[in-house]
Amino acid sequence: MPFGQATFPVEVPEHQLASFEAAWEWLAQPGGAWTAAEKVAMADILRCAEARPLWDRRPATIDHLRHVADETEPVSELVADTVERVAVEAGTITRDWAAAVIEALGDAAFAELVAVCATVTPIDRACDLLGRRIEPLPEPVAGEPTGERADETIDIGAYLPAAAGFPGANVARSLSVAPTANMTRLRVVRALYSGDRFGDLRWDDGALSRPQVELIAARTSALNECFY
Amino acid sequence: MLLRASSAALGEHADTSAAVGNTVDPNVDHGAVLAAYATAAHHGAADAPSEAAAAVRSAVGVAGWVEAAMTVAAFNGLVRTADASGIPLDEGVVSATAGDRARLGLDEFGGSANSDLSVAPGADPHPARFG
Repeated sequence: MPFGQATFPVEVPEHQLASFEAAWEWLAQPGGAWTAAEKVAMADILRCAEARPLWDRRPATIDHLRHVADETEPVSELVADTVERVAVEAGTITRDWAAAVIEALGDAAFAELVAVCATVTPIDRACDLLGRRIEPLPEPVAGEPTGERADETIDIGAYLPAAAGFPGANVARSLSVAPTANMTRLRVVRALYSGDRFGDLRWDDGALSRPQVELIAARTSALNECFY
Repeated sequence: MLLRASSAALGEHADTSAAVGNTVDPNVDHGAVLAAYATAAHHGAADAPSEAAAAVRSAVGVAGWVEAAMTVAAFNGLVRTADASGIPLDEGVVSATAGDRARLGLDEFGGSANSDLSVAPGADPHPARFG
């Protein structure tokens, strides 16, 4: 139990810790498009990523980034570059760039890559902000990717298609082409934010009121220049 | 939108310009302390937000601080999902947020390119539609 209550300096709700545990178990297992070793390597790149000036970036177009198997690196140049972009400059990602990467990787693979970033980032931030050490990444389990991809998809106007019939807002179904990855990162986000109360404008069962939570959410989103 | 709507549900009127740091008093209980914490958490390294965190604990208690930290964490995941997947604003949100977006400068953010913003302003859709 890497995220046991005793590892935190303050009491953390059990359902939040359970979501972290589930995320780490998912990260350690082969995914739909990536092996566990590749997913863990992505998480490691994510943690090491730092914003860099434009002149210091690696080749600016994906035509210069190799996406080939290389025994010396756990993931290709293209995958490493994509993880770095999602980590530190996601707001600069354009439709053309995403389309080129999705063409190279596949839509479910791109969605799973984003899900790794969108799952590990909040868990790391939570630990960091509460004064807990960042949890070491799990040991990857051997095995091949499962090939999981949503059976039927629809165009929602995003870079990625969404699973047909997936309920909720666009942000909930944004990565649903990779079903398990999407549900894993959604579980973490819902545990940390709204739980089952999203549709309720009044929250009376927590330490903060809904306007207090939404103020923090709005300020954080604006600082990240998140339009959505 | 949810800041304004949830505040209105309590009979209050939150100042949404607090989202972009344009107000001293967001008109939310302990709002200035919470907004300062979100700012410190964004800019700081591991121990940088400690002063802001202490202010939050003093204002809303340890459990409130944990909720504040978890909210910051959650939205650092959501921004990466939204921007990397290029999702547009949901139906009804474009019109409901037109005024706030223009006033706060949010349409300047890169992700705005993914939504058709040429929709007339309208009323807030209920958040239950997005859960």
